[in-house]
Amino acid sequence: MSVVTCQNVSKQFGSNSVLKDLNVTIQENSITGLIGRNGAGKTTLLQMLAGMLAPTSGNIRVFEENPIDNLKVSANTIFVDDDLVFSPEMKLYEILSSAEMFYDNWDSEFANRLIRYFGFQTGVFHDNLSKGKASTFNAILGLAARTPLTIFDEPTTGMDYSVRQDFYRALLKDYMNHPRTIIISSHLLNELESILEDIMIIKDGTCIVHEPMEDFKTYAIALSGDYEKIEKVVNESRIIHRRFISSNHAYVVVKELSGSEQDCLKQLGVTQTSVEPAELSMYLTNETKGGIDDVFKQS
Amino acid sequence: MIGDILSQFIVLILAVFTILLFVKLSSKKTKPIKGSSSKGSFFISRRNQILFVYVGALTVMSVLYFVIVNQQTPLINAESSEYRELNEHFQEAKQGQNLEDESIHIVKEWEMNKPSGPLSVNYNPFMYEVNVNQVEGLENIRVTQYMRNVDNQIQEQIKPFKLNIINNEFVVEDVQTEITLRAATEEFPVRQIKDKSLFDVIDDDEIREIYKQHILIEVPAELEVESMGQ
Amino acid sequence: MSLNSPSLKSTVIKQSKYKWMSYKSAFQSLIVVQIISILFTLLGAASGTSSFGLLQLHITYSTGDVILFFTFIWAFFTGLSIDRKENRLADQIFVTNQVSRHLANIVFLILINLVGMVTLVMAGFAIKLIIFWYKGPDQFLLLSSYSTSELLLVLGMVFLYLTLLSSIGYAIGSIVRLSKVVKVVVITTGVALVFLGDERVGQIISFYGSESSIVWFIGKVLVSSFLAFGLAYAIARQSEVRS
Repeated sequence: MSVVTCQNVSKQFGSNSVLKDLNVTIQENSITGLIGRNGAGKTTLLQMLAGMLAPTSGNIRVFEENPIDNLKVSANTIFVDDDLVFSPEMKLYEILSSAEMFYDNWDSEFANRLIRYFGFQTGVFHDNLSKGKASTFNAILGLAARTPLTIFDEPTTGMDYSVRQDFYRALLKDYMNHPRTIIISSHLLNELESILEDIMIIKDGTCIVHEPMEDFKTYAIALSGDYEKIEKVVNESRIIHRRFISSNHAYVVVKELSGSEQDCLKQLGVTQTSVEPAELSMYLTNETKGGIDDVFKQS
Repeated sequence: MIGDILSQFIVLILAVFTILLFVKLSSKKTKPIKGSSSKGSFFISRRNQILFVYVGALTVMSVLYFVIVNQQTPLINAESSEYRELNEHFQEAKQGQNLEDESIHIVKEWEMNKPSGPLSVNYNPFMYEVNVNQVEGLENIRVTQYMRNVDNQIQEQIKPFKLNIINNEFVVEDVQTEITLRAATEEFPVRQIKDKSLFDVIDDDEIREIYKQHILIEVPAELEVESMGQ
Repeated sequence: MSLNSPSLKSTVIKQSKYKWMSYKSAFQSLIVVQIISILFTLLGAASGTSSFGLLQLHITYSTGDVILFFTFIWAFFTGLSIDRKENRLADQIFVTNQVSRHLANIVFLILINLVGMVTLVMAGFAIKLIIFWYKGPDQFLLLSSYSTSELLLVLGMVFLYLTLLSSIGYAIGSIVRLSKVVKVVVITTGVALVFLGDERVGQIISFYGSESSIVWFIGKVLVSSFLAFGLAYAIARQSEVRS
């Protein structure tokens, strides 16, 4: 069953087009990583899934319903980011008890253990938490709610390295015990890589990659050798990333090579290596094929 | 008058103050600086306790109000059935000159020597009412100042007139009674239903009628009396 | 994972409870406003001097009217600010939709108005009790004592007034939130009308305040409140779908 379906979804804010004709389907019980640069449209997409925004055009279905103004979708979805606006008049324990009241699947035992582990005093106001602590608290809320659709929008902003690791581990363990649909967005794949089942990369408002993590590992291949030789075999449009190591020696990342192409390149003396998913996702989301080096290129 | 202006002025200042307070409360910033303690957190942290104490204190005071104050005899109201009954009895007693009646409160009684000639009585009918009665077998003049027995603080404080007979003329020297009171009145919605306006708390004509003073002059039957209102 | 389908009713109940926890400053302003108006009433109150023939009465009236009007203002501003953006965002964290949010706002306003009603009527008695203690029975006069039916009457009418004012505040709040321009226009017009003592303001006040028939009064207030809440919902819905 697909939990989320987006058909030709576009979103404009004034004249600024944030999402363009997006088509996405997310299956039940999966962890999907939504990777994209700042401003790629990640937050907009997630907010639309949570029913907080309406698309300018296109059709969004969550649990086969329109998420806008929908009580059922709201009851089965939690949207967590580092910037949740809580009432400044509630203490942490009141927020936790509210969450317990609202979410039927809420596991207060689990929530309390996380709260203790991360060293929270529940008698303080959410506003008095530091940025990292607030993110951690919000993440706990997202985990313990155990909603069938759990959306984390850049949940680890401000968290310490070790807290981030703990969070990802907690997320994975809890997901294995209580499978549900989780979407987690980040501008980096690095630390997320090990927990994701699916990856979705959006760039400039369109989804450029959406596949299982396993497939993504073989999505592209890195070629290292004489650029002119590489160019003969591989079409310019298939190049994802290109970096010149010396004047003609280049490091090029290209999308899927056929068997014959691989053989051909081998004969030309071009070395082929696999690309780390984290590295690949970075190349995919870059604005230019050459990365920051292009800025320094004299033309 | 000055009190009126002053209190209106204070109302205005407080109204402005309240509006400012509300504007401040309702324009609270979305995100206070992280790590700073929220303003008003004293109340926010103890809302239930404070609310409980506040409601509790008011409840105790309201109960005391009903036990102590609300049991006091209220200022009588000309439209009330109590007053109508009282007035009926009063008029009857006045007609029958039965000053012993319960509906009559005697402010003061005098005894005066009768003058040698005929007695003339002048009085102000708007401020008090005078009746002269000739009684058989009376030696001297007997004067009684009385009023409706409304049974409250005001009637206890009304001062008696100063009376004299000078040159065969019965003279009433006006004595102003000045009373300063705090009066508790019902709240606006009750007055609204009773069709009283917001600011009209007391009906002047009513008070004038209720507290009107009466003088009964009893003279020996043979004394000639000439009575005239001014 | 099986899906939950909460009913509107249960969501509204949960959300009203949530508001009770998350909007404590409304209680704070209620208590602050009432204490200020109690102090004010104790310091000075409406007074009048009347001469009745030879009787000169200086009467200082003590009533809960000042608390009443200040609490009315409070109800208006509570209605005005309850659906402001921060509160809406705080609602959005948990289970909600527009209908449930507006209904929960109304339920919360009714609940807090009940608190306001009880405290303001009792504060009126507290004031009179304090003055009675201070002045002593010789200088204290009861113009009329409360009967049980009058007590119920004053409670009921105060509640209706509070509901009326908070519903008007709620409607104006949703109009004001349409845009910055509308906000400025509404506030200036409102302040000007009130402070210039426009006769229309008086007409509106006496439409409710001079109604001496209880049935008509209840009818007027209920219809007005219903219309005001409905208007607020319609406007809020319009503006939210657009964004």
